[in-house]
Amino acid sequence: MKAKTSIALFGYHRTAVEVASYLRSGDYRLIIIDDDEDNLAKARYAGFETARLDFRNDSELKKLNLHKDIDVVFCLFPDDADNVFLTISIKGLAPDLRIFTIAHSALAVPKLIAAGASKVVDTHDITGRRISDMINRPMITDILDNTLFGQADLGIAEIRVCEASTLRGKRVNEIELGEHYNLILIGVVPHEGNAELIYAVDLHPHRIDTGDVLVVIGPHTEIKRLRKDLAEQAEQVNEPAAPSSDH
Amino acid sequence: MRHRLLKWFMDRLVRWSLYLDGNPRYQRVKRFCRDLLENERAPQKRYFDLFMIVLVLASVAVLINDVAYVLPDWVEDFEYFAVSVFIIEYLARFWVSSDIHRVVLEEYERSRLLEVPMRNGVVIRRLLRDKWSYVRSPAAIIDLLAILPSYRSIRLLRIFLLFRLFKIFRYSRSASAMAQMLAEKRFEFYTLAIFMSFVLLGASSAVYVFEADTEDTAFHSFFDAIYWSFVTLSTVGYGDITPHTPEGRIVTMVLILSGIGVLSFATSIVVSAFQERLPELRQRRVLSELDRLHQYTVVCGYGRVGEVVADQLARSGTPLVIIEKDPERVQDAARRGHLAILGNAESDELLRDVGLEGPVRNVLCVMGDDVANVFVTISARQMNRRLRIIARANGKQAVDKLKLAGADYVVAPFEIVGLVASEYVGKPVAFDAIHGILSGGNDVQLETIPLPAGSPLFGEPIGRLALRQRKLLLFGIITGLQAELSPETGYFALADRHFYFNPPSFFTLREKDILVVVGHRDDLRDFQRTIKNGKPLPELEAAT
Repeated sequence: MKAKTSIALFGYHRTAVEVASYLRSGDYRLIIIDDDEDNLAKARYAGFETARLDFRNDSELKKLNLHKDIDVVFCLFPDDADNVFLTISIKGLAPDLRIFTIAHSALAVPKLIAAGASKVVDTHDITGRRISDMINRPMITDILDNTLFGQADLGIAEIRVCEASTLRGKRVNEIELGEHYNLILIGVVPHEGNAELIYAVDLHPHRIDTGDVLVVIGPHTEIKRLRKDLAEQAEQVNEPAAPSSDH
Repeated sequence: MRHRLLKWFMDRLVRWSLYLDGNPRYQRVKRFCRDLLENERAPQKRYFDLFMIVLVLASVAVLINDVAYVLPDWVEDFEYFAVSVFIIEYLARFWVSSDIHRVVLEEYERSRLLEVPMRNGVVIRRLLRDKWSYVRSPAAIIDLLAILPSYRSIRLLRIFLLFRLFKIFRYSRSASAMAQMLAEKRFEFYTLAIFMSFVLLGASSAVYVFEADTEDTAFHSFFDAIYWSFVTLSTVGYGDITPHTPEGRIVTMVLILSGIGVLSFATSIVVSAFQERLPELRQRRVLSELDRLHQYTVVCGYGRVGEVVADQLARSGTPLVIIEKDPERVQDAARRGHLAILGNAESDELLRDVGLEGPVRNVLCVMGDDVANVFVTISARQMNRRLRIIARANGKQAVDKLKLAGADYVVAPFEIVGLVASEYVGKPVAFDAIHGILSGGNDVQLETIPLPAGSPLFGEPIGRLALRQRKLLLFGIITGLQAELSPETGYFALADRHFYFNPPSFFTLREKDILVVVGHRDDLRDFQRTIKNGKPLPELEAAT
């Protein structure tokens, strides 16, 4: 098992520059890949690990050893066709890899999903919605800015339920996290099935089981406290702490 | 003696001007008349115009019937009424066309400042010039002539009833736009007219020379020849007068050929005039529709982002108008049912026409070009300090520039994507939740629910709302109350109020508090309705 999550980022353009600078703050191994020397020079200047190869050529892509060395691929070319091609190529070489792509037009979104992308973000769509939200729901925008966009001390976290947890066997809407922690449970992702989020507001028959992931929002200190408590529960029955990749 | 009289007169004039300038009622009446008669954007003008059109049509109908029939007395009264309205209108237009007192005061102030005597001649000449320039304007002449047909003793004056019909142009925007459009092609029409008169004169002289002296001639005078060549040139060809000599027939053939040329030239002038001005006519249409809206949003740039914004805003019922440079995109926008103007948002004139100084509430600069966005932001901010301007930054460096230019919010697509992408790596599941809330595409939403004034909920603890049973999740509350809570607990200032994350169930609700709730769209709507209706919540009832 590798120590760090490895990310291959294809296409060092405007959006990619921003994505890379966000990713830098996390604890990841980041490789910038492009076939344009100017872009690579910029990436190197910014202090990133780079690799030059032509993504249109499968034999060159194989050099990356996608199976073993890479966990997530970002396709961030400014051209939708390039992103589709790259997604298909990678899917062919390593079907299990998580692929994040951006789309510049609404029509490209289904194509990218068909090509095998795990997540497609339509840049224009998300921007447009945000702008219209500023007018229609200005307060929500402010709240999101302060929470998710990280100006206040609120974070969103995923917490895996371990073997010994007292939460096991409870229904999603029964968990009263707010009474002991200053946290809100948004929902739960069951460990089996298609990994879709069950919102806490739904009366869902699903009972929490080992391996389920809780999605919570709250101050970072509270998230830390919950993690610690859950880890202590786990230690009491001499089980290794549940792995949690984030903080 | 004359000198003294003039001095006395000027003295009166200045005094009178000073009085008018300081009289608010006079100003108000004049402004009202001006709005009614001249201001294209005043709402009352629309009704006034409609009234005048009906009046003109009715009076013309009366005049036409009057030619051959004897009409009852009340019809005559109506004619008097119509003519009095026309006369009053003419005088009112004469009155508002310029401000006499302002001209007088300008000169008066100049003479006070420079300590020189008033230039009486200059003042009077300017006054006369201003009014005269109104009187000799085509519209004013038509107005005057339209009054004449009611003077029945002269039969020829009847023909001036046509001028009444011309008067309609005044009240219909599109008709006057068309007249203006044709007037712009003056040079082409002028050329055509010269060519036409040359051909007419040549053909009529030629045919007269060849035909007039033959035995069974149809050309009895030169006027016949001109009438014949005109009928032939226009390709109408009545055939009441026809040439009989071979020479005359050759002239006819040449004339018919040139007639086709003249006609097609005339047609092409009109068509091209239309085509050149069509976008402008459309823009006028959009602008007049805007007059009916209040507090609307101007979207500058209809690219991909503009499209999403416009669709979202339209769906939520926010009125909006789009300004876009590309004609194809404008058509796309129109097809989707948006008001769209073809034009460059960088033009101050266009921004002003759209109403940036008046009823516009928001301006969105969402063009793909940062230079244009900065430019429009700064122009809009200079026009109106109270506007809310949201700008899109395509490059990182543009963010600060847009803020400096006066944008209230700057949205950077690359930044949002960067954030979303980085969240994706660490928390792929949580990411879906964020993305869902951000994109709004999800059924589960984050929503603000303000408590209505006088709600029975005030003073009650928040736990009483029993949000859980309504399938809602309390995310936080926005309140005016300053609390002892520290920022570590997820509390932060929000505009003039404060946001509390996850308030405890004993938190007391107060006036103007706003709940921030997560839930399904339908559940949220239900809850909102229950609260708005002021119905005591069932849980509250049970408690009392």
